[in-house]
Amino acid sequence: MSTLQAHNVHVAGNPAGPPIVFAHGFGCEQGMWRFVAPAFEATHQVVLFDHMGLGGSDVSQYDPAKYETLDGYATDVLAICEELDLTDVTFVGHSVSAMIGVLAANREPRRFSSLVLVSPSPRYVDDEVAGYHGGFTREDIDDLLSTLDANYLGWSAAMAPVIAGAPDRPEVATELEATFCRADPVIASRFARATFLSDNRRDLLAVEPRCLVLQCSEDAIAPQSVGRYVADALPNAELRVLDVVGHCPNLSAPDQTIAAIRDFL
Amino acid sequence: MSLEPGPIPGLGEDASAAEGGDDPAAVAAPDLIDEVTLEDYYDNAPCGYLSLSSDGRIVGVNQTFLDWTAYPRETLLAGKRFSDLLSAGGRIYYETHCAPLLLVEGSIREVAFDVRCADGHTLPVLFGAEARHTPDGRTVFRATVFDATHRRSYERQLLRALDEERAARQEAEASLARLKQTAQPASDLSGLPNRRWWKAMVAAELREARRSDAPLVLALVEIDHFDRYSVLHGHPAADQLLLQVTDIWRRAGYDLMARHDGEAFGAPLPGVTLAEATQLVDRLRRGSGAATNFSVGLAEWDRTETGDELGHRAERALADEKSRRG
Repeated sequence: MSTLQAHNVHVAGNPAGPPIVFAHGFGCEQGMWRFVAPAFEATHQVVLFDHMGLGGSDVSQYDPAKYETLDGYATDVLAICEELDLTDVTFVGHSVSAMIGVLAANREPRRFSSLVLVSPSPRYVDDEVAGYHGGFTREDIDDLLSTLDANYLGWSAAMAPVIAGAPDRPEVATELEATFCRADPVIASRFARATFLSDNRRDLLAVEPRCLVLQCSEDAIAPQSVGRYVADALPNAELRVLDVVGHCPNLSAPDQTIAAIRDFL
Repeated sequence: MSLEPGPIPGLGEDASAAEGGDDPAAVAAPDLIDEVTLEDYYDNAPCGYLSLSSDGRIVGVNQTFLDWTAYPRETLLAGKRFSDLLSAGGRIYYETHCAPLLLVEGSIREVAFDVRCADGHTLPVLFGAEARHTPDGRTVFRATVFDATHRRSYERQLLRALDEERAARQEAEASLARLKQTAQPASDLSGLPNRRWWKAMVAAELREARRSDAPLVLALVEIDHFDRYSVLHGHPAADQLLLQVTDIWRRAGYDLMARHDGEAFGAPLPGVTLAEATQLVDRLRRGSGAATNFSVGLAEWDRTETGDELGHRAERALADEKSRRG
């Protein structure tokens, strides 16, 4: 099976335009971009994919050792770019995928023209020695893992019909019903570990492409101070604070998100 | 949350309509229902009710939730988000799973959260929410919160039991692997361990099959006319043939082991039924050459017999097959 099938890659938009790759964060899949990605189809070749083990990816190719750290996910991003023969890529990564994009860009800097980091965090756990405030303690992350366990007991694991469709937008429901935010509990738990115990602060310093940091004004996962830290650490970055409460501006404020990315490009 | 107090629309009238009926309960009902206002239904429901703005802020809350969590209403309505009340792990889970689902699918059910109450204690709850669209185009989420204290502790017990059972299985598999490894040095030219190990192996496979509730077949293999082959072609050639036969089985994933005095060899086939084992043997015999000339006796464990009894049945099956193949 090719990389493209394994990652449920969808290519749309203008084949002559520059490529823009959208990467989803922890807990979700490419449907996260459904209100944003179409806006770039007129001007860009739009590439969407699912991280291994999530959404419509081919779970049989999940390799526990490879996905122990974010590097394995970055390898996949590069493999997708390679297979589609993409250059001058604008990579838009939400949440943990922001750092996955940073890792990918550091390995093949010439492939990327720019990175858009949406609600990024280079380290979620506080580092008191360095005076870094990520927002969480190690115990908090353990608590997340047990929350995941508690919810997979009768929830995602059973793929039960617990998440009903949106009655007023049936097309959204049917399209996403099968996979949206559902994952194998073991895979999700490993991804959580790889995500929330990662430390990519040093990787920020080496990023060559220019970056846009999209920060929500009130984000329980990636606070403003973290967005500021990311923008300061990157050699060539601008910070844009969106007037949004939450962690997913791509869903809750797609218009602001689209406008910010457009301005940057 | 401001709601107009008043009788439940519809309910009161229905009850009044029943007045004058034969059923005395129908006469008593109106008095009870008249006291029930929408406000009372909302505030004193047997579950917590919350109204959340599209960004998760609490804009309405009922008395039950306040009683359970000991928060003053003003505190919660002063811009607090529901996720602010959760443990840190729950907060991450809310922002990465629930908020996206609510925004895309408009509904979520049965999410397990721990609510941190004002007095410091933790309330395990089941949370569900649904999107409602106001006439002026805003979205609010109506959420219910159920006390799940006992359910959660029951689930934790189940998870613990699952962990223990997983550990027990790993231990059983490890001891089986150790047994196989120890068996290896006690081998002759064919690489086949001796009889003592054979018996221990069968006993271990039986235990494993019982534990995992999986079928188990015992296969006994004997090379046809091995003695005659040995006389005709010499001992080195006979040893070579033995290696070829064991190799055919090994490539199929089964190690043949010596049972008696080098006459018949055996292999436990875990997770395999008699029909599947028969197909396997047919497949292994395909092709040509001396190495495909072997007889096999198969017996599927009946789940009650001992290893020896199973062995005897396999021996009888082998004897039958040998006489059939001539």
